[in-house]
Amino acid sequence: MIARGIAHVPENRRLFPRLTVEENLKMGSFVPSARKKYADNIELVYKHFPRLKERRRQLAGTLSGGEQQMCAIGRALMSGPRLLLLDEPSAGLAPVVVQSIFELVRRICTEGYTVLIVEQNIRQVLKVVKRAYLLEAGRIVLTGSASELLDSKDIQKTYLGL
Amino acid sequence: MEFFDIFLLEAVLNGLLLGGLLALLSLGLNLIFGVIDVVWICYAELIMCGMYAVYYLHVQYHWPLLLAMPCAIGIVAALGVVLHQFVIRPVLGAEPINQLLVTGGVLFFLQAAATLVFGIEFKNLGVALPAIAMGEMSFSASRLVAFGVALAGMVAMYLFLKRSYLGTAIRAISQDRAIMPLMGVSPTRIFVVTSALGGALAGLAACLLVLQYDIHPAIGLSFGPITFLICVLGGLGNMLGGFIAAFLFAQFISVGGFIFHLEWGYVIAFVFFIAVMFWRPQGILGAK
Repeated sequence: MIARGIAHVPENRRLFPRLTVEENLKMGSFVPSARKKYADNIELVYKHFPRLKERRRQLAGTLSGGEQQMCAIGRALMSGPRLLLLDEPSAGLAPVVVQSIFELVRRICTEGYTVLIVEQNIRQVLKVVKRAYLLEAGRIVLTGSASELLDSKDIQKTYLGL
Repeated sequence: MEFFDIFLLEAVLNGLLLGGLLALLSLGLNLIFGVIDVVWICYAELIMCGMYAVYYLHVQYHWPLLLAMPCAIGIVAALGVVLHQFVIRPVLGAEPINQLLVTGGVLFFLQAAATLVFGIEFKNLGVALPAIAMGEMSFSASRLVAFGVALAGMVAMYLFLKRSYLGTAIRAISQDRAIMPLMGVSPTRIFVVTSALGGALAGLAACLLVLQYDIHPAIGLSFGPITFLICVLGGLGNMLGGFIAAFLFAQFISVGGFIFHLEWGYVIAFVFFIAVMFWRPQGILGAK
């Protein structure tokens, strides 16, 4: 999958806790096609997440939740993907941190990456994405642009509590 | 008793030399356990196979030692892969006790097979390195060589694990096996590479031991248990712990043996081991 340009940021980050930040990023570029671009990609990741550069020699297990999420996204970016899958990026993070993570995701989108997010935090995620699909019990019940979904009565009532 | 005499210093230095060798022995076993989570009880028997390989290539087929030894390392590395593919792999998901029994079975298989194929008589490489005198102290050159090579082997291993992609993946896989495919890493392949490395380390140990000891089918028993104890002492799977434990253990054997009597050195070392197990059952550097 990763060789075809799809990178997956798994739920709960799943970093290697006893590897350093930089080693975690290195693992993201394990596939041969990505190894050649290691230097470029790591520069790019450090540009997006300067915090990771500060902590690059630190063990990933000692990072805060938000930093771990940055590291997990950075690890996925290291493969130079065409499509980035984010699985519940807000899980287990403090609300403030969630906001900054989504802000980072939005910036990544503007860099030309295609990003697919699975997320329960609807209010936050709709601020970031262009199109959204509402799944209920495994079936798509509503699709549309982010603003269409935000305006939908169903969503407002059921998910946003308005 | 006069404590600060030159022979005590000699004992300490000899302990250091022995420690290097023991550290190399424990490194392979720790690598396998740390990555694959299986203990190769038959590790020392792989070393025995390596010793026979060096012996036959050198004595029977008259290969030069410096060609026979790398070949033996390759042979044992291949044995490690075979062991993994045919014995370990089917029991990877099984109970730990079954994994122990299976590798224990390989121990007896290899011992019996070696007895059948090579016979029970002691074989000697017939290479005697001279003793080196330093003042009043003397050291066997083969121990010195073994120490140097063991140290170099360990440094090479450290650099490989720390710097290379494959080495990093080997360390990563012991932390989160299930996530590896997301990185495009096949755990199966990493396990095979690790088994080959573990085998190669056993082969390297064989090359060094064959310079000092006679070869016979049960030779694995003279350092298999000690290797295992050192790994447990340091914290099973923890390579740094094994390293420290090896040098500690060697000092107990060497200095203890010097102060009391040669055999007492081992007794003291094992008492130390038991004491540590009461104090820290997980080993010196082991995680709870």
